[in-house]
Amino acid sequence: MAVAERVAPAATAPPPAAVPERSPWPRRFVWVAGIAALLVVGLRFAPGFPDRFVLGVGSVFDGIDTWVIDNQRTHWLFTGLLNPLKDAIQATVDGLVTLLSRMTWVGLVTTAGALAGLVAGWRMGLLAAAGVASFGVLGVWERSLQTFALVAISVVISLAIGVPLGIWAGRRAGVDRALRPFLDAMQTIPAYSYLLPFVLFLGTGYPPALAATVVFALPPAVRLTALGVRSVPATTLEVATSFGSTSRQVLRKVQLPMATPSIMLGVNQTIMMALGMVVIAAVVAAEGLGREVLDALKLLRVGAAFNAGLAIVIMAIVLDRVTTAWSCRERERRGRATRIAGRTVSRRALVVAAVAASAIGVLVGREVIRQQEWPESLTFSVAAPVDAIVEWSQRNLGDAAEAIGAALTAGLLDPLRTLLTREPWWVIAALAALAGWKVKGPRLAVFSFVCVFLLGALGTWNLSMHTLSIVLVAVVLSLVVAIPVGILASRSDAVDRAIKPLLDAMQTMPAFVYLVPVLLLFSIGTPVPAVIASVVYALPVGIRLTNLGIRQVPATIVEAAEAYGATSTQRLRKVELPLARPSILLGVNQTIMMVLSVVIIGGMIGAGGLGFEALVALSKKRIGQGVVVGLSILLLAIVLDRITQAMGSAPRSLRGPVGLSGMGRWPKLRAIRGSVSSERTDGTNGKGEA
Amino acid sequence: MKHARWVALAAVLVLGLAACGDVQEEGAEPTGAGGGATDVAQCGSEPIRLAVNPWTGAAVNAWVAKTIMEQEMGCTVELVDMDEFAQFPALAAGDVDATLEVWPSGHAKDYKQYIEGGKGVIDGGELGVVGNIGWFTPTYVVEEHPEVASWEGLKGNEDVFDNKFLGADPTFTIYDEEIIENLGLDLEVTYSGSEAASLAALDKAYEAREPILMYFWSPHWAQAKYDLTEVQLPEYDEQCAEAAATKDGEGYDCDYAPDVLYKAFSDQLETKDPAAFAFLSNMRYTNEDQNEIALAVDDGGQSLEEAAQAWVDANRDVWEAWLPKA
Amino acid sequence: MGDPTVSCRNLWKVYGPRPERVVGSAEADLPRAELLERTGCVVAVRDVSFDVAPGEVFVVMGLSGSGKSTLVRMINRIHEPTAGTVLIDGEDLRACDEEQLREIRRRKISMVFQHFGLLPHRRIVDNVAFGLEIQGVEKADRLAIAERVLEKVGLAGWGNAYPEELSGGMQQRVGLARALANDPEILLFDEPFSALDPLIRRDMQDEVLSLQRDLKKTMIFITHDLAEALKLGDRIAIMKDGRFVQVGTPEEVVAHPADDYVADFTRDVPRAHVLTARAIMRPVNGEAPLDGPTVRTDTLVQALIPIVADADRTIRVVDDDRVVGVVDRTDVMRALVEEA
Ligand SMILES: Nc1ncnc2c1ncn2[C@@H]1O[C@H](COP(=O)(O)OP(=O)(O)O)[C@@H](O)[C@H]1O
Ligand SMILES: [Mg+2]
Repeated sequence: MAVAERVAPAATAPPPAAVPERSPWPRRFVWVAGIAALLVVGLRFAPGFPDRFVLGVGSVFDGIDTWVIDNQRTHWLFTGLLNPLKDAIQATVDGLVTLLSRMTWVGLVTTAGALAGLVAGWRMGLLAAAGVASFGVLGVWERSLQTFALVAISVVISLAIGVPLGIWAGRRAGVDRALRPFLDAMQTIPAYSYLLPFVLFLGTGYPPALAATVVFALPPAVRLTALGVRSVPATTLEVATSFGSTSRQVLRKVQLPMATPSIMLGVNQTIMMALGMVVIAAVVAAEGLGREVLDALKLLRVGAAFNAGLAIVIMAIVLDRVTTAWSCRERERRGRATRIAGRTVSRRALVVAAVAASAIGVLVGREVIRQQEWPESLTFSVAAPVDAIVEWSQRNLGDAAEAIGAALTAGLLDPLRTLLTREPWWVIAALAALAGWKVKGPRLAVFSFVCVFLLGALGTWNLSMHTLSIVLVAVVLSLVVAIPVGILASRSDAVDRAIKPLLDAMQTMPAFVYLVPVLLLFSIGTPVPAVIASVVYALPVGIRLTNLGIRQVPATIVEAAEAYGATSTQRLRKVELPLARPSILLGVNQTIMMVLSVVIIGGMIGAGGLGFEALVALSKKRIGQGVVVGLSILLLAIVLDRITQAMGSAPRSLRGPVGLSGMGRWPKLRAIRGSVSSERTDGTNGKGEA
Repeated sequence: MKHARWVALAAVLVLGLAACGDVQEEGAEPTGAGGGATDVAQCGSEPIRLAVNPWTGAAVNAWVAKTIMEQEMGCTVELVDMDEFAQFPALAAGDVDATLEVWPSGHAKDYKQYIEGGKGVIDGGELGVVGNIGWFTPTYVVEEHPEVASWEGLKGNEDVFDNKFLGADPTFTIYDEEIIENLGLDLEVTYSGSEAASLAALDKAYEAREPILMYFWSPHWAQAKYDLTEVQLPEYDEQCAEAAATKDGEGYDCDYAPDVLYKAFSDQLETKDPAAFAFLSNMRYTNEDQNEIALAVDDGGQSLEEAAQAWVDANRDVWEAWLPKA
Repeated sequence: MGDPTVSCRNLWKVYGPRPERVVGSAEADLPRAELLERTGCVVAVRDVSFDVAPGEVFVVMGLSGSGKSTLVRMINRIHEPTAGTVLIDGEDLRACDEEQLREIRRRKISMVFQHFGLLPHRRIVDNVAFGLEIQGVEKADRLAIAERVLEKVGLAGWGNAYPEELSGGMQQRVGLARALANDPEILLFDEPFSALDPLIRRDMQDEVLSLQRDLKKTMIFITHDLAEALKLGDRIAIMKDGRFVQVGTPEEVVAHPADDYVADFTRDVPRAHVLTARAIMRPVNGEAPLDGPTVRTDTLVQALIPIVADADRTIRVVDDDRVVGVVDRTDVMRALVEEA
């Protein structure tokens, strides 16, 4: 009886037709063999991209500089619009710097502490005060104020543009789609490609620096606002509609409040991006910490560069932690009274206390201590110890580094570059299309093919292949290190905690700072230093996403694996890694993007390729060439991004480098993703797109 | 967000306090309006802004000018750090008034567009310092292999340098590959990519006392830190000038032309401040003058301000002639 | 009874590209998968007509995916019907412009949602006052009303809490309070209790019944739980594949299922709990002396059992003191065992 019952369902509902069991090997073998055959066949044809298909895109832009030079004294665009705008920006940033410095160092330290304490708790208050004080201690007081002022105003402007745009995009799928390519471009095209036009139109100093910073910092503000608005569950919108809300009411009373955490994350990311442009700002003669870094670099003063870089890292960490703690607290507390030492203190009392503390600080600074600038006697530069360390490593690690570099060049970089430049363009395009087809389907295949073709049509084929070879090697190296470290960190909280500040520093320290030490260790004139620099920059994201992916595996599944007697390795290989795959693939995607963003810097240290071309364009003032290089990098980035993204089908909206503890908040965003996709099916919930 | 109002109020309060003006620090004396000779033309009230490129020589020029102008002519001089590529647009847009050390080899296009084209920038005359680009090697190499001190000796002995030549930033004016080819040298050029990278290579070689042959130039602070010897190349001549000017370097086979550094001003400087214009036009000193200050800074650890002041104090005879008469 | 409060005629809802062409066409009767294949459309509600009288509780019951939520959302037009008419108090909802529609939603119809749909960033009292706030009621006034309604649903004192601090049952009380705060004429419930534990669900059903006794609202109540439908509904509509397969009182549905589908549903219903004396009585044809105990026509069979057990005479079923039928032990037993 029991047996019969068990058989019965099988009889009524036959199992789906059995998938023919085949070992994955033959299949994989076919692929490998096919690709190898393609490559071999390709070598028999003319290498690279035929000149007759090259479009003269660059020359379209080349007249711009002459036009600007001829017209900047007379044309209304300058006299009526750009010049006043530029003066206003300069005056605003200058004004803020003056104001900050007149608050005096005592006043600023107390004000920073009081403000951070008020919005984010006393711990954050202490952190902020210590952070501000550290600018003085490191001996970069004035420079830090300038950088802070520029970043603050850039962030305000980015948010003022980005949040409304994000809201619009969040409410209208069409707008979102239309904005996406621009946001991608803004985040991917290196600043060096557009610095020259910015300088021509906005002159030098804070105005072009601010413009470049806004370009780079705007996308996360738009994306995360849109994500937040879009992630409001469809039911919640139905609730609002069913009670007769107008569209404005839905926005004000439901969508915006519910998107606040995501918008706050956007604010945080915008700040981090803006801080990433500090050195670029200095390139166009804006005052600030970046200037210190650049100067030190030209003088080969590693310690001094590091000292200034450290101030940038501290500023980033303080702003990151304070804004994060702020948004978390705001959510938990929701305007209720706080308890201090067992007594309830009203919000108003706290505000008054903070205002008083800050006012007293300013008063003491101005009237009692009578010092605006941080006193010289209280400074301690880390330059000397850093120099000592660099010297030591140069002496003791130099040979080993040289050997590694040589091996890397001979074993990976040179062969790969040779291969990529020897193949005709259509082999590379076909490979990209193949990859696109495999991970997603025909549309991505066609898209990839077209992008690769355009790369050739831009006339940068060899440079692009050169850069691609460096990028690929750097990505592989990053992942080889990042994934095991990420696994290690997921296994041990101690490791996780220990590497966190290091990862933060690696991501916020301007790459310029470690260029020189890397140069001192590795072979100059080869791409090796560039590879090392980009690995340093890209490692954190790979480590974080691996760690996160494994930690997110539901406990019940791990328990189940253990209940069946899985060893630790089995658990990792059969359960955790497969489940962490989307996160790890997102890490791969992000690693590629980060490596690409260091590509320009690679040009500065002998890696050649597109990065170098961008620098040539800048210093020889060839706008068109700059544009072409920028577009080439964009195309490379897009192809690599779309293919890896489809592999992991990562949430689109989370693209772009996500700095610091932004990573820590991914689990929540992942939860949001569920509702994003569920909303897709409903065409009639009043959000257009029927 | 009710407390947003309070936070705003707090900010206004604090800023209001701060807005009262600069703190008069004890012991700090107000700057400007020094007691110059009465027959010297004085500056107007507007600050004069000088571009400073990121190398010591440029900073030295600017500090010398600043020190004298402030002390003798009552000017206010602001120094604006900027990369080379930005300075001509900055001059044309009036963001800065003058730059004091332009290397002609790197700015031929700018000279044509901005100065010859009359687009907001004028030639401010020679600075007096002459730049020298060439092939350099550490002196210890020459001591061991004296033959490599000239190209004739280098020929056949390229293995001293492992047949390698380190080129610099290819955006500079360079003819290294042409020189090597046309002189029949057996050297392979690799490019460091930037000044910093070249310096790192030099530093590394110097530390290890290894041979290195590279594109470099003077004046440069590193000339003081590292003992370098220039490899003698054939004298610069007409034929090379022509090769550089018209044939994109084809056939170039001699030393680099001397770079006669010049000053460039915004075309509005003269009307904005005739005295400052006259002074900066007159300013002219030698490689030795500039080097003396640069050395004190790069090697002696003095600040630019101190070093410039010391030079100004000791060399009145040099700069007195720069002062415009009232 | 007067004119119906809600009146729907030939309502259709088709999702997909160019949905109008599917309405009433031969294709509409194709199996779901085939229709989707051919037209890319899904028919969620097909040709549904019904009236709901003032003060009536009209329950729509069906399995998940049968189109209930879609149907109820067309009654306040959060979903636009593909075809058909909806009359609210005789006013054609589909002819309303944005402004009129909003006005109806603000004052006439409120809805209680399956997963509560509370706004997590607002306090309970602000959630309850949401509808009033949308109408532009002064803050003090709307908070006072909200407090009162909260009290009515048994949540006095919880106003300052946030939704996540409440249990599921309490959250749905808030959802109920929010709907009631507007004092609407019509309440729409979309499976409001399906996410709750059985015991709490029962409490909530009782709550709705008692509110209904007090307030006499017109309710359209969606559920997939037949017991709930039987308990709450004055009339029940059984929905399948977007169609009403039967509309009737609980008793009619249990006693006379329209087809096998409905019968399948009702098979497990404890009949004694649903059937009344009226459904099982025989007409009087003067056989025995009519002197047994009397029961009213709406007495549940459940209540009849002890009476027939005790009495040895035939029981009279009376309606307004008039004897309309008789019931004896055999009738009761047959009713209990009878297959539908
Ligand atoms: N936005 C939509 N797009 C496409 N099909 C939908 C949409 N909403 C509901 N449906 C389909 O309509 C049918 C009825 O759905 P619904 O009204 O939610 O059923 P119920 O509430 O009875 O579970 C289901 O088959 C569902 O898949
Ligand atoms: Mg439903």
